[in-house]
Amino acid sequence: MTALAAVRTSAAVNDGGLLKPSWAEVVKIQPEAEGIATYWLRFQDSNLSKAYRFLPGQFNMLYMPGYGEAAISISSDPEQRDVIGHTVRFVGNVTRAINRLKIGDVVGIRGPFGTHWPVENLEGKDLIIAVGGIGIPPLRPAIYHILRNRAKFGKITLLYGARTPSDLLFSSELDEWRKSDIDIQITVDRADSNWQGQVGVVPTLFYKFRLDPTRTAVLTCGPEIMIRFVVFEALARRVPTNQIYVSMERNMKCGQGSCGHCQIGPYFVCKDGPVFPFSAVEPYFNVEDF
Amino acid sequence: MDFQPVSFELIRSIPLFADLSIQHQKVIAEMSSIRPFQENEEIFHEGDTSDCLYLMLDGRVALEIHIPNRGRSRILTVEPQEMLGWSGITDVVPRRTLTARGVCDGRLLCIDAPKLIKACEQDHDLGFVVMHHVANVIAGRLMATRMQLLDMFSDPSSEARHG
Repeated sequence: MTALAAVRTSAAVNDGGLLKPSWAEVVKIQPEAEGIATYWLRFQDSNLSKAYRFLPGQFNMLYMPGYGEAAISISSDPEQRDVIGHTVRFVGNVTRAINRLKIGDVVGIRGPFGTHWPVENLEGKDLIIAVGGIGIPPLRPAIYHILRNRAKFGKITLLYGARTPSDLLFSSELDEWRKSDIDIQITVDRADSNWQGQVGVVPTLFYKFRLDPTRTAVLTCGPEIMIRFVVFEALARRVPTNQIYVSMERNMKCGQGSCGHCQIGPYFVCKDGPVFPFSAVEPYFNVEDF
Repeated sequence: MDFQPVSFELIRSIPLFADLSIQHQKVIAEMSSIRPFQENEEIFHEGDTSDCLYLMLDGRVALEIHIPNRGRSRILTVEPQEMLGWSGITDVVPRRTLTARGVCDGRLLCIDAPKLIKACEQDHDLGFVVMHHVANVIAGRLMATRMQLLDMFSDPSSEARHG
């Protein structure tokens, strides 16, 4: 199987929900950091709630009537079927409208869309998960999968960066992940003297450990400039390009590769991504304005 | 501050010095000492003369800069086996531009900078290896500084995928 085929979704999930939004109720709002919260949503249609499936790394289009849609990665456990978590940063019209939702309000969902982290094909490997800022929610479902199948994977290293200590997401879960033998390296761009942890950027965390490129895969998500340098560090350590997986961000609208808003070269990020093997997108990676 | 002598065995055990000859490792050992530090202890201060090149043995050191009316800002931390105070062997930056402070208790290998420069000038094989390592450190710091300057985690302007 090629690396590109590995990320493509094989399971048919919610085929009926790709064009028409299904209504879901906000059942819980979990503030994560300043301007970021996780919305736990439950479909109003109980049959859909039971049937809905997604794979780690996929996203939904969240629809706010009067405002439009925004592509939001699913940040919850794929095995948790009753509610779906979306961790949202409030930066645009739609996400700011989501910020005004209260428990019991409804939101439209189309999806799930896109490719997934090929965790099932990475069993037996050492994994480096390099994330920054709002890049950790799209990888949390993959981490849940790994935790549930921990014995099937080799060494797991999470490299996690944020702007400041108060911007770190899912802090309450990190200790649990550590207990499951995940080496977690956290760094922040800036801090005051009260911060006892590391200060610096995610790519430099690669300097602090050794990896075996023949048995290592790298999964990365975050600002594209961070991804670029994470890939650079992985390549410098001879990790093959088809064992580096990147989740790309583009302005996604239709979710089905029709409108072209999210095109990168021959690919539509919404349909052929957001998760790509680096080998597929490498030719377009350093092309300006692609 | 209480400096302690360094054994040749310690120098041999440090990965950074693995590509030095035994003779060069002995030279480094003779000009080095161990500098223990405690949590919150100031190791050097902005404006101090740069007379040591440090290598972290254990612990964590924060590099801070004082900004008037904003206090101390922590801009980088240095971890075991990483170099600290590379300005000590440059002519361009003769004084410390940052303050180094212990985040927790630890130890530094302190290499006498004037002696190291002299040894590098007298033996270019040693000089090449030392400067090669220092260049790598500076390149890494420059890359990190550029990324921090970009403030890449600040609010994006578009409604691209936000979560």
